[in-house]
Amino acid sequence: MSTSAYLVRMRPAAASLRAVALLVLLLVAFFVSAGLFSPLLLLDNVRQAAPLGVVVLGQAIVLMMGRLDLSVGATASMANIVLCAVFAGDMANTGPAVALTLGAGALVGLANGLMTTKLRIPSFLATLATSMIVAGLVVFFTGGSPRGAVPAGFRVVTEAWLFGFVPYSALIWLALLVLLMLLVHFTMLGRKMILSGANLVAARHSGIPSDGLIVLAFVLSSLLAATGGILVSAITGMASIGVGNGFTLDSIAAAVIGGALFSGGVFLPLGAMAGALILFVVQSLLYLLALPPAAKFIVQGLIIMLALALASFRKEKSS
Amino acid sequence: MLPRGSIRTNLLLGLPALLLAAAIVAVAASWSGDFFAAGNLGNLVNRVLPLSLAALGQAFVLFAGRIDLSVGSVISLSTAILATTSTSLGWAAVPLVLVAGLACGALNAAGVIYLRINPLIMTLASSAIVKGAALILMPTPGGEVDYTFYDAFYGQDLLVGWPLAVILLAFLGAFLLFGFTRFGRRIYALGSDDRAAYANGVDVRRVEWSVFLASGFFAAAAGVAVGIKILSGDPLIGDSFTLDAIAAAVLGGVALQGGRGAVPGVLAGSIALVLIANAFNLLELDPNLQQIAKGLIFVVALMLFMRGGVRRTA
Repeated sequence: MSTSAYLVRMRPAAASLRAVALLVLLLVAFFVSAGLFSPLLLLDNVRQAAPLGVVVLGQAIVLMMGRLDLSVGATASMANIVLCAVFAGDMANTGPAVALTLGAGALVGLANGLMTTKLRIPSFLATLATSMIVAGLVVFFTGGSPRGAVPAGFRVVTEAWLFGFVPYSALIWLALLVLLMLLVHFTMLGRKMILSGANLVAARHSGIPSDGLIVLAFVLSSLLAATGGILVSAITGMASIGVGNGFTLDSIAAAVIGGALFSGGVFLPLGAMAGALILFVVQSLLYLLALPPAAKFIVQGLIIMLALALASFRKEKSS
Repeated sequence: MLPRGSIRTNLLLGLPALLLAAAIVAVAASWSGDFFAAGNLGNLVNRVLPLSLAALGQAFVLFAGRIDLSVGSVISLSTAILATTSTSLGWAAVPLVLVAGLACGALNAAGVIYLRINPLIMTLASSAIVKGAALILMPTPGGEVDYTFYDAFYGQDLLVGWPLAVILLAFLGAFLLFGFTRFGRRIYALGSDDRAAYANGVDVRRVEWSVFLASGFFAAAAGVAVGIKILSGDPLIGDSFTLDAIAAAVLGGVALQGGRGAVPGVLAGSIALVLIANAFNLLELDPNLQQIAKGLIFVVALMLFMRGGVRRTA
């Protein structure tokens, strides 16, 4: 393939650009109402939005397959519990702690994928059921009082800045984003995934093993959710039940703002990133305006509604 | 396709759930002598009431081939409204709550019909909005529901009382509506095939409006039952009801792809779910296992009932 063809593929979709434009607008509003502009504050927002951003990437992959993952919140919460328990505050346990956490996440994804493909349970119900089971298992094994902590050495992941300028967590987020973009847009596997998301029947007729790819998407989503949970744990440093529960709705909202469609076949990592940042800035704005924290839910719901209403309006106009 | 309205078909759909319920009763009664105690039976009816009402509302939507994920949030909001207004308004608080439930249903219907948002996502979004409203009204569990409400409604936790009457009335009404009226047929028709229903003169928008309003209404009624039971408001208490209501309907033979299911089955499914929880308590198992078990049962029920009947989507 020629270089120009690669470049065409790299060009962000219009929906992504719209999300980025909205983000810029919000940032202006944020800095105007805060009364000062500082790039450091901006980067600090990016740092804190990174866990959500990583989770959104997974949700976007599942949405690309035309499915929905309502278990990312429970998976991230579980990751926090497992990570802290295995770490037990000792830096020497880094390897097993991260590996076990990701392994547990992958298992959740595997269960989700097998339920939706082999048992043919609609994905939102299958993942709703797993999220219930996972949350139940967490409470059962911890007895409601989780133990352990993340050692200070590991918290560098989210608390430290490279050259005092770029937060590590932002780099992790960016790296995962680029990896996924390469996977989806530049590998055969990714092309097959996006095709089965866009048209399952056509994909099957073309001999693409769609079921396996759907399972893969769910495993990726849960792995990313677990990674998001790890990042959250690095921020908070302690184990607490349900710390990632908000990610479920947040990730869907962010993906939708970024132009993801529930009908599948679309993967817009840049849009997903902008979506996550938008949600985060909106939260900060609500905080600045001294609105009650619960207003966040209302804004979230309205954002999802607005984004989808716009999408369906545009589809109607073009057809 | 099976003929609708015949009582035999209706009852057959609920048979698996009824058998499951009977099996649980048998196991629970043989392991624990307390099962048939009058207190436990009355307690069971009181527990079936909110779940069965929420499941009935959900069934309206499911029969029409839609889904409502905002049921839990509506229940939470209802308890919050009840707990903040019952002392000042008295019994007038109940219609207020029901109106709020209708408003939530109207929000869902408007989003689905006018903004053309997929019902699954629309109700997910509205559940966030409603939950936010509940949390603003009542940031932490609290408030007070007048004890006279409890006294008048639940009384002595007897088997025969207001709760049983409400369950029977709601389900009998719904049974007649779905079995013997044109309106009920239209809901099934919409669930079986949108386009065919439209081509045959079903006013799709009107049916969609009514099913979402019904779901909001019944969820609010369930919320009233919960609020009176716990004598306070809790902005998060409804969360588990969303999945439970769907699970009860699915256990009762309601097809998620729409057009298939029966009202008696929904009641049987609700009873079975409540009995499972009750058996856990009577057998003194870890309550945390309950949630895991419920999730697994849900998966098994979906697995059994989803097979074979997957509808081709246009």
